[in-house]
Amino acid sequence: MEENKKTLSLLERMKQKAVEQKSYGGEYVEQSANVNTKTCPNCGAGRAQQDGLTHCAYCGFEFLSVKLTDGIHIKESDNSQNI
Amino acid sequence: MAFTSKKATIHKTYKHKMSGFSKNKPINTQAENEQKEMQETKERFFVFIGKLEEKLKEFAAASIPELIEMNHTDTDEFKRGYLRLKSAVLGQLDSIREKASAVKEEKITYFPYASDTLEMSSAYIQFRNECYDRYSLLEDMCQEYRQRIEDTQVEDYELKYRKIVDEYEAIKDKFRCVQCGSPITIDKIYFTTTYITCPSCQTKNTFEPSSQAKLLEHIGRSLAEQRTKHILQQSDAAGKEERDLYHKAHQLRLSLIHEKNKEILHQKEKEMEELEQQRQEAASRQPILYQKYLRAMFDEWNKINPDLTNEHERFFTTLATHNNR
Repeated sequence: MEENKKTLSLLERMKQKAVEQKSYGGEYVEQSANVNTKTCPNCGAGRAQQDGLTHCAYCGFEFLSVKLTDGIHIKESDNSQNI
Repeated sequence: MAFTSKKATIHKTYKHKMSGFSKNKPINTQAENEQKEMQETKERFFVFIGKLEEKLKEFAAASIPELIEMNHTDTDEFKRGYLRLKSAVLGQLDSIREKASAVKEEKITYFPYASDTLEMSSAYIQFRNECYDRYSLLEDMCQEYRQRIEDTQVEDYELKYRKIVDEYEAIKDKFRCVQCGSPITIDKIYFTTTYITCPSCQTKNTFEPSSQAKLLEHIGRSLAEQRTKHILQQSDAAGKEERDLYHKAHQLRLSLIHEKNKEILHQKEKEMEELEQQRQEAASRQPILYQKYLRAMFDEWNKINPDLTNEHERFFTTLATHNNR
């Protein structure tokens, strides 16, 4: 009986610790899907498909300083041509 | 009990052999003392292992229902509370096994004995084997409980996937271009942030999937494995069949050692040949079934998350090549 009590209390302690311990990376926060656009902070123009994503088609403002390569959804063709 | 009688026989033989040599009397006494000590060590070791087994059983039996309950009640998306508890419980099991292993090494493997006689060596070997066998029973029990504890982790990936699909169906036509307000259709399930082009003004809109949809990458493989589990079981069964047939043939081979009757010898050899043929057939079937499982699992995975097909296929090639070695 005494032994049983001891095991249970050890388990209880372990359970308590498991619940109270802070999760690495923080708590899980559920976020819903959304869309947004990035407009040029220089001239206010949007980024259009045919003009590429790295520079503003109107004033040449640099949105991204990297050269895009083929990925899952972004392709090399998304680099702005008329810089 | 069996050990005591065997040990007594060895002891008797030893005494018999040594009788009549009065100059060897001190060695005889030393050997007797060492054998007595060996017997006591064995008894203490058996009691010790028995107590550890009781502790293990009691602890595991109490923790399994707790783990099942926590798996159900943990509201965290990744069930991290449950996983922490499971790790802690498995850690306790490991510490019991480690404790037994350390004592086995100290008291059994390095049992000190000075008498350098054949009888003493065989008595030690018997003592060591019996203690090792007792220890391996504890290891088997540890393994069994470990499996039962692992089995408490039940996750219905089908349900999670269904939620992602339902959410996609609900939101796919709900968005509008931020620049011009035209409707934007989300053409498929995206699990990572992506650009969607507005069909009217061609503006690139950044679409950020929900936290739930982002989990598609993480649940994909587990779901595919869950869906193709029956093929893996067939492959495992073929592996087990091969092992069972091998053991059966091995038993037959052992039974032939003292067999003199030629008819029985011939009959058993024939049986062994048949068993060997069946074993080879099962052995060749197993890797084919495993390859079949891998292909089916990866096909399923590609269906669940088609955007990562290239990455999945590269992984498949690595696994398939490794399996064929």
